[in-house]
Amino acid sequence: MSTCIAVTTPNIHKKPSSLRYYQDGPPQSVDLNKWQLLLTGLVSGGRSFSYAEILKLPQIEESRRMVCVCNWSIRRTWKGVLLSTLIEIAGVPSPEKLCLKQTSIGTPEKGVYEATIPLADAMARRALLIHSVDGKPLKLEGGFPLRLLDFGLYGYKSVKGLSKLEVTDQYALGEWERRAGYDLDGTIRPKKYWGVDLGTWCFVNQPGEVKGI
Amino acid sequence: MMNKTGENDGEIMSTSTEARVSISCPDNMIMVPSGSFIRGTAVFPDEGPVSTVYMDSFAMDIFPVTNDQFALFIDSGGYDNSTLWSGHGWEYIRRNAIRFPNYWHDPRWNQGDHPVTGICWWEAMAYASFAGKMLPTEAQWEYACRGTDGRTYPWGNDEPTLVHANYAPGCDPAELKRSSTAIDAYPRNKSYFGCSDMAGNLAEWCLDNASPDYSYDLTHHNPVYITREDDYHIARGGCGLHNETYLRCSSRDNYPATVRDNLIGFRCVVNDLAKWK
Repeated sequence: MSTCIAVTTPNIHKKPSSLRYYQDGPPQSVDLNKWQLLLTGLVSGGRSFSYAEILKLPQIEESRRMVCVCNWSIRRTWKGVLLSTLIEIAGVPSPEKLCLKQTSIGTPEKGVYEATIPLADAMARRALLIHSVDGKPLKLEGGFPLRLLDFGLYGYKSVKGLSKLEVTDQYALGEWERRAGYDLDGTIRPKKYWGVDLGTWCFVNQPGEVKGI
Repeated sequence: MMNKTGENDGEIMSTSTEARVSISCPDNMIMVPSGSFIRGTAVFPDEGPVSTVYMDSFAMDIFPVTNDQFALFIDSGGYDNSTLWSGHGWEYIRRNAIRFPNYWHDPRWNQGDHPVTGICWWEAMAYASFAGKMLPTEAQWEYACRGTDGRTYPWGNDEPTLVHANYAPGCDPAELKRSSTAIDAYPRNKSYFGCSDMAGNLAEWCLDNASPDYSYDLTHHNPVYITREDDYHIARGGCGLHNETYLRCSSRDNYPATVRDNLIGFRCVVNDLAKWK
């Protein structure tokens, strides 16, 4: 069983609403006895993982900063499984040529949310499949039961409430690129970002994951 | 406020902000006289180095382009007239079957006296071409906003409150389903030269591509930074999703030319005033 370190993110009550950034909206509820993460596509052995199976995999707990394309960021303590762990289990011979399409559980009203990221880059950036934050399981509006975070990319490239990961050779537009013309690439750009936890602005000088702030 | 209107080739007729109207200024535009201003701050690295910049005169829209104004572009066949579009822009709207701004049918964003939004940089450029105008350079935008007295915000140095502009303290709007506001909803939101609604509500596309800072500018005279039209472009003024620091005259932001989010609108300038006459 996975245990988490209880941590309180400063100013967490001032975090912009997750509902604003959960475009397909969280499902009404998720039955963990039925939920499964399907890992499919260009893999040697496609399979699905139950929530319990995810928790039995090697666990990673890290303090890392996620950044929204709407110019705010927050450093929290995230816990989950390295994406590379699942990819290794599934068997992907040449991930550097492939992408990972993420699909959410979705809702009847809004359908599903999709985003595709370069697979090898995501693994190199230590992308996480996250089930807990600040020592507690994700809330529904935070992406329960499992969400991906590639910390080198803006949040719109990482899907909450995951139902499927598909290894593909198609680097396809996702929801927010189609909806409002955002970059397919989605790499965090050098800019100023409001640090919710910091209660102030931070200026990021380099593209990619924000480290040291 | 100190005004120096004598530098404007004799076209500015008054020294008061309220009455600064030229007989040769296009309708609903403000004449911004030639002169110099202090560009940038030391607040963020992308706003430096701070320097004095010299600008030729131009006219700028008093208000952002509204939905009512943009409807004229649509009704006139603007989305079908390739002569209004660059090659990149034409290809983009054709490939994506774009016929309207992205929020054209959303009552939270489509009111006639609200600024048009959900338009990519190319749609803003096409409208400007339709109107016989141009997008402002970010130097023009900052000069029109900040004027010559080095003020922090368009209205002066008073810290913003929710009576000044439509913005989001803490980057968290009070309403989950936020909306734009009318272009004249905040009477205090008037710049040094008299342009309204420059801070908040919607950021505004500029002509320039995104640059890391102003070190590219070696002449300090009508600067503009152009790389590729399909690269990121500058947006100024902040929006209802961003907090106080974006309301500053010198604050910079940038987005892909393709972005059609409800963060960005635009206003236009006329540079060749003799031709306009």
